Amino acid sequence: MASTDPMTRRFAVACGVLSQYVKANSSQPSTAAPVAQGVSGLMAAAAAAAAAPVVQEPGCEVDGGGQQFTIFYAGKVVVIDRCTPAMAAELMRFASAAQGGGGAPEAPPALVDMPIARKASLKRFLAKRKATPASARSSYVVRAAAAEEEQPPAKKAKAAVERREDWLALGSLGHMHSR
Amino acid sequence: MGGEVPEPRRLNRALSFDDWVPDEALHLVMGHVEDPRDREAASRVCRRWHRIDALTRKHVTVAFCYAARPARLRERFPRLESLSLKGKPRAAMYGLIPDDWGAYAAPWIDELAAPLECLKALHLRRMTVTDADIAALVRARGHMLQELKLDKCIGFSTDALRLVARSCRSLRTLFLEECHITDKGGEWLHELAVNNSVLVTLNFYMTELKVAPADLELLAKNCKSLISLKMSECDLSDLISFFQTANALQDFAGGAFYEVGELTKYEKVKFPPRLCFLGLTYMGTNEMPVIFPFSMKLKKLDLQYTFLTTEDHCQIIAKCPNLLILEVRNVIGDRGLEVVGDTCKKLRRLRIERGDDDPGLQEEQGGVSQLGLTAVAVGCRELEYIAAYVSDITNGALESIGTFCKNLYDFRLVLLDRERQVTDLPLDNGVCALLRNCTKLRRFALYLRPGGLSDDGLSYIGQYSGNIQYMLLGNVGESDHGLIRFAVGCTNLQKLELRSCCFSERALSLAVLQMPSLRYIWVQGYRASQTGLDLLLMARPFWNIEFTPPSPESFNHMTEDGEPCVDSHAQVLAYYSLAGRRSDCPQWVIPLHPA
Repeated sequence: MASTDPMTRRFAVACGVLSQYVKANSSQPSTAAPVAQGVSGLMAAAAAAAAAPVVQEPGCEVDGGGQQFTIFYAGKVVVIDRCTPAMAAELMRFASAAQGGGGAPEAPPALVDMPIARKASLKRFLAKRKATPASARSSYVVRAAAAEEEQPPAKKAKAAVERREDWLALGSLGHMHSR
Repeated sequence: MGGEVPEPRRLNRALSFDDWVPDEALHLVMGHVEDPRDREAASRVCRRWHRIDALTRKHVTVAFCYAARPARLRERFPRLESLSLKGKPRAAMYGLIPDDWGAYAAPWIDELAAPLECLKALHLRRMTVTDADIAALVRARGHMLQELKLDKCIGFSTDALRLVARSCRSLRTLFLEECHITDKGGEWLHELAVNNSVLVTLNFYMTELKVAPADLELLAKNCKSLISLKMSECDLSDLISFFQTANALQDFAGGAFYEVGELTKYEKVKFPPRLCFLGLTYMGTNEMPVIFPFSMKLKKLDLQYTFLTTEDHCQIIAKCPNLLILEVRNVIGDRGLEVVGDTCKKLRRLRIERGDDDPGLQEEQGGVSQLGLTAVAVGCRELEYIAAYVSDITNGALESIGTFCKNLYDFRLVLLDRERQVTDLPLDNGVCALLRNCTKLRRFALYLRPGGLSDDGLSYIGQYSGNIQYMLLGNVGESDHGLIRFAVGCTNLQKLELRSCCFSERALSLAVLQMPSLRYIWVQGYRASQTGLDLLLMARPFWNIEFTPPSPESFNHMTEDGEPCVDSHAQVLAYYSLAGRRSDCPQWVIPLHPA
């Protein structure tokens, strides 16, 4: 069973440590960094493959002696700000411990299809269009046609006023103007 | 005395090309060479030609703002009159690039605005421009500026526009289309109307700016030369006076029909006599008749932002036989495109955008397919540009486009993912035929679905890419091998965008190294390697590689609209740069480079 595998257990401990660092890092909102989906994802990847982690430290420095610490692992990237050398050393120790003569990595999972993006200007137009009640437009058109047929020309001005009031009552016009 | 032999002629001096052609003549000749590639070739002949090219170069386009340093541009082209700069990847138009990604105009304006004494036209696209940047530009060049184009830019407000309006009295073109502008009042337009008398083009289309119709009327009075106005929403009935005054107007887009069904209100709208480019917002069935009196004269029609049904499209287009440019949503349907094919024999550009995914009661099901595209290909043989979102497509339709549309220089096709069944996949043979026949093609985009194009088809694209310089490919190919075969054929490709593909990092890297002209590649949706470092296989001098990790929901970056970016897949951007690595990367963009 997987639970009895010493390498897996060591890696689980490493993930726990990593998770603590990520949480500690996240607790400072001003320095929040993009973080991988979650430790469980990493563990799932570990169950499938024993990949060699590669650690890279960009040259940038942060106050307090910490540096940005970037980990590439199983196709995911973790970036930790204000990582002290001690933390880095500990993480690397866990990572090398997890490394070993594991089996060949499985084939990567099929790529999730990505939705076709829509141009921003059309997106805004379609959103506004949805804000206009189509049922009101249709029913209004029908009512307008009926009104025009039924009423004699002498009352056309009054009908126009009534149509305007009807439209205002629907609220669409006010909504449009308030934009 | 008389018997002396004449001294031998100095043949060396006579044959010396350098001495024979004076600098002034070379200046004059260079001034007539306008193709940027020819210029580039001429500048490499010798030092003298390089210097004269530099002194006579009037326009430069920097295709990517991180590819060069502003100071270097200034040193090389000291007499520039016109400069174009492009910023964020094109994917920003689709909400795939966060607003704080970069592409700041400040370094360019700070470095160039004052020293370039001849500069009178500036065009920025997809860049971040602040009020302070525009203020610096106005301070340095306000008196000289004739064209200011801010295209899909963000970061500035109407305060900057007021400054431009007050200080740039020679401005002939002010272009702000699809910019995100903070509206602090409409005074900028009033200032423009009062201070400017030479304006030809004003464009704030697809912005949310509020303007007063009276200011537009004043502008029309003072600027007799106004030919083009593209504006934000404003009830069309409030523009009657403007239209009466703007006698020279040829191009109008924007306005709005706010009171749908109010026929009497819009009956009085009379467009200027020379109007031939038109796009009206929220036009519906009942408002169409405002176009009919002059539909014969229309050369460009933009119906992307209308409320028209398929039948409405058929009616309008049947009355517009002189169209050169048509822009619609896919609500036009195949029936509408058949009318286009029958009617619009002079059509040069056709854009069919993607409409609602849930068509309402006024829209037909199905959208655009091979039927409509074939009808257009057969009927409109002068087409140079086709961009279409389709629900279905066949090899035969692509073959028809190849057979009949030999003037195509730009072709873009997106196969929407809504329909479950597509008639005829893969599209290998159709794509092959189109590329073989459309030998003038410079830009090509193909966005399909898994199975839409096999490795063979991808190989055809490379093999027949000819002079294509830009490609966007989505959901194409089956394996790394297909990508390599594609890359081997692409000798002239300069810019490549890939999305939602199955290729590995290693294959991407090898492909990049195979394409000799490639300067820029953007990728989203690929097979990440175990270490993530196979991308470094493409490392080479002057080549920047930037990786954006996938971001979980909780860390989505907010765009200026306040909406989260819709996409969280990893992105790779790699490009040649004489400027070295970016110094203004946001925290979440990771430069990759060998240790």
